[in-house]
Amino acid sequence: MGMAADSANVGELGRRIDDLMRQHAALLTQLQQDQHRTRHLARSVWRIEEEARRRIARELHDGVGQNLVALMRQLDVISAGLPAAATAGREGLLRARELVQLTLDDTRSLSRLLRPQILDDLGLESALRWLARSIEGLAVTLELPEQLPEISDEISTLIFRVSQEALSNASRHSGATQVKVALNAHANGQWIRLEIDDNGRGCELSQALSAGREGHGSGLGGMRDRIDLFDGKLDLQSTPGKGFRISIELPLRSAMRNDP
Amino acid sequence: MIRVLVADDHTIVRETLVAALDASGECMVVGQAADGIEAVDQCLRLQPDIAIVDISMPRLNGIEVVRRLRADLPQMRILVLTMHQEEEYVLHMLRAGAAGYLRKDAAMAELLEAVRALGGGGLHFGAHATRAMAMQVQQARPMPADPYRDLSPREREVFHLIVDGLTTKEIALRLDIGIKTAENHRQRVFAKLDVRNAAELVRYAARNHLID
Ligand SMILES: Nc1ncnc2c1ncn2[C@@H]1O[C@H](COP(=O)(O)OP(=O)(O)OP(=O)(O)O)[C@@H](O)[C@H]1O
Ligand SMILES: [Mg+2]
Repeated sequence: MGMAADSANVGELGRRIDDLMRQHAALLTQLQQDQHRTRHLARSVWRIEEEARRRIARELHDGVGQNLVALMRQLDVISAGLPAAATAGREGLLRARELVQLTLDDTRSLSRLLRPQILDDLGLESALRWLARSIEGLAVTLELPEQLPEISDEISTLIFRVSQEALSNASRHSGATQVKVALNAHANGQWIRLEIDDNGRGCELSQALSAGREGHGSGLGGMRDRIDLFDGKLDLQSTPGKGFRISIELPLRSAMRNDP
Repeated sequence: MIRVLVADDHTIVRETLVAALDASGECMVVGQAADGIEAVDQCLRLQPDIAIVDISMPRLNGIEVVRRLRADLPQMRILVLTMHQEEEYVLHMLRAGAAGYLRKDAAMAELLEAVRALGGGGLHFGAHATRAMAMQVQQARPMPADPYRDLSPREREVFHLIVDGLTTKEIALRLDIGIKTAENHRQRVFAKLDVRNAAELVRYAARNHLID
């Protein structure tokens, strides 16, 4: 009797455990799916942001900018048509042209700030060369391989954004005189590695990662999150007084690309 | 009269340009195109002396247009007229075969100068483009290798301690490692940087701005 009851209990317990295991497995699958979806969503958000930047940058540069150019051309025509004696009128048109020129320059900078067109027009290599040159007060050397492997637009954008942030940090925080940016492929062209290395004052890494404005998606924290989304690796190295080094690796053929 | 074709997708820019070129009396606009494909077709059909081509255009961008036209119409001169002033654009267009490069906000007088130059079989590059080419020539020196980069983090620490004037023994103490190990690091740093002694290493550090 007791034996029978016990074995019934054991059977019941076994069923319960099986149930729990099944529930656990289902929850785990659910969690993995949710995680997958969240990552997918985060990538979409990033993609949409870059796309919006690209479109506004282009509209500013090619739309507003070119209207300003046409306006300048028209001022030139009016000026050329004025009688020789109309010096005051010509003078006024010149002032107007200068103002248009200033507005055009501002429009250009604003557009570049959002997203430099060179990245879409000429590709990552040209964009990096341009970026390296445009950082003031820093001698940036670029080391690029003879031949870059094929890099998707998304990964190109990511590499460009990381370089941009790293160089901006180097110029604002490091006091460095020299920065090196090196890009190379390895593992049969399956991975790309980017290293940015300055000779500045460096910092405590624990401080660096907590100092960024958390949740702004910018800075080193944002960099880490974004690289994570593309299954990449981020490695920071620094010792106070001994420079700062960012090294990232990204898979060129991300599993993510096959997402729905 | 010099026969010109104007390719630009921005209607107002194109029309003001065409009007100004026609009014100059120095050239005649024989055709217009609003995208890259049209530009190539029109050039092949009209065979102008000069094609004035924008870079950012739909369907086929200016770089591709220049490449194709250079192959098919080698005698036609191409003037790039663009919003872009960055070195990389200039060099790309130059390699593709452009004979001139001007920014769109160039004064009309310079634009006409370019048309005359190209019409006579010459070249014309605006101030920005000229500067870009000069920079390219000056930077074309091969990049010097930087052995400092190849030092491991530990070797870098040792490097800086040597620069600070510490002896091997002091380095060992400071890093809490054996004297043997410290000496090994020291030798490896010397070897990697191709220097023979601490003095040469300090000179290396100074030359490469590695000293605070
Ligand atoms: N190259 C560097 N050299 C020295 N310190 C650095 C360097 N890069 C980052 N840091 C330190 O790490 C901190 C965090 O950098 P992070 O890029 O996350 O934020 P931030 O640059 O201060 O702000 P944000 O990037 O959001 O504008 C910096 O405030 C700085 O103290
Ligand atoms: Mg920052």
